[in-house]
Amino acid sequence: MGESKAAQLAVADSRAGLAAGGAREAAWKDYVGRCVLEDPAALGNLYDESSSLVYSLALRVVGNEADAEEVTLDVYTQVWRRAAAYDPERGSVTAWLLTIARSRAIDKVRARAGRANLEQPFEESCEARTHAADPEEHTAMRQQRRRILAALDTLNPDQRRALELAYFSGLSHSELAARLAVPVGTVKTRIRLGMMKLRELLVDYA
Amino acid sequence: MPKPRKATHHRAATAEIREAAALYSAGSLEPERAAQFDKHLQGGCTVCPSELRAFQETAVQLAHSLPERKPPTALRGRLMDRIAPKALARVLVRAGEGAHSSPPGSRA
Repeated sequence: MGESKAAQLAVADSRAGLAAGGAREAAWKDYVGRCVLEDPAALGNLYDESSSLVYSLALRVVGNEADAEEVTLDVYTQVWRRAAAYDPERGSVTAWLLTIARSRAIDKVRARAGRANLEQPFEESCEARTHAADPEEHTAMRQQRRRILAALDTLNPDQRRALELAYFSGLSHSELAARLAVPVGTVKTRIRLGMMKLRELLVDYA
Repeated sequence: MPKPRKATHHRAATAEIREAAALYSAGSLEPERAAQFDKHLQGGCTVCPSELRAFQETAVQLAHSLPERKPPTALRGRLMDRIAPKALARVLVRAGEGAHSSPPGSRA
């Protein structure tokens, strides 16, 4: 079996994992609704179930635990204060949380003198990815990670690198082009094609 | 007679729309283009928001590719401390309402 076929099968498998993700999303919507009513227990529940995801993304972007903790606190504080602004028509709670987390984390990195983290070679900034996952990682989360990794494996390596660099670093097109030593148009094309392929493969989630 | 409004709605997703939504979702649309796209979304287009939503849900899957790391246990307490004053104020307001025997549906 070819790698691509295997990856597609891996992406297509585990309907149970998808159902678990749907149930999780429904619960998180309920928590956000209760945050609107200023129920601290609901924020606690949302934090308990989603903070690993938020913290992992923050850690990947900012590159150190202290800043990742601050970003995580900022994300849930914003959720608490702005819960009424969440619109399920515009996206999932997961997307809402992670979009806030990414934005806050990139702001944190940019605020640092010299933008040290954004300017370091990408491979070095990937250190967080080599850390072992938590042994108690939730099964549904683990299944979902396998699916996205399988989908990423089907991308052209140049597309994958451009896409990951764009998402996790927040570099502009011109900065990405300089980093990857390719024209700006090439960067855009790689990101666009990578996103389209991922969307096709992860249509259940998109 | 009012001037005809310039059309801001798309009839179907074009390659250009998909590119803008894909790049926007990956965080790599130039700021000026991103602002234009935001403005367009607020104009009531019925096609672009659904394209954007699909790509945003795709983009956040990248976060799921990371090994899951738990924040320190103490962070939860810091969060609860941070939101506590507002929660506490609400409790006090409710207590006050009860003490004054507010009629049902009234607000202090």
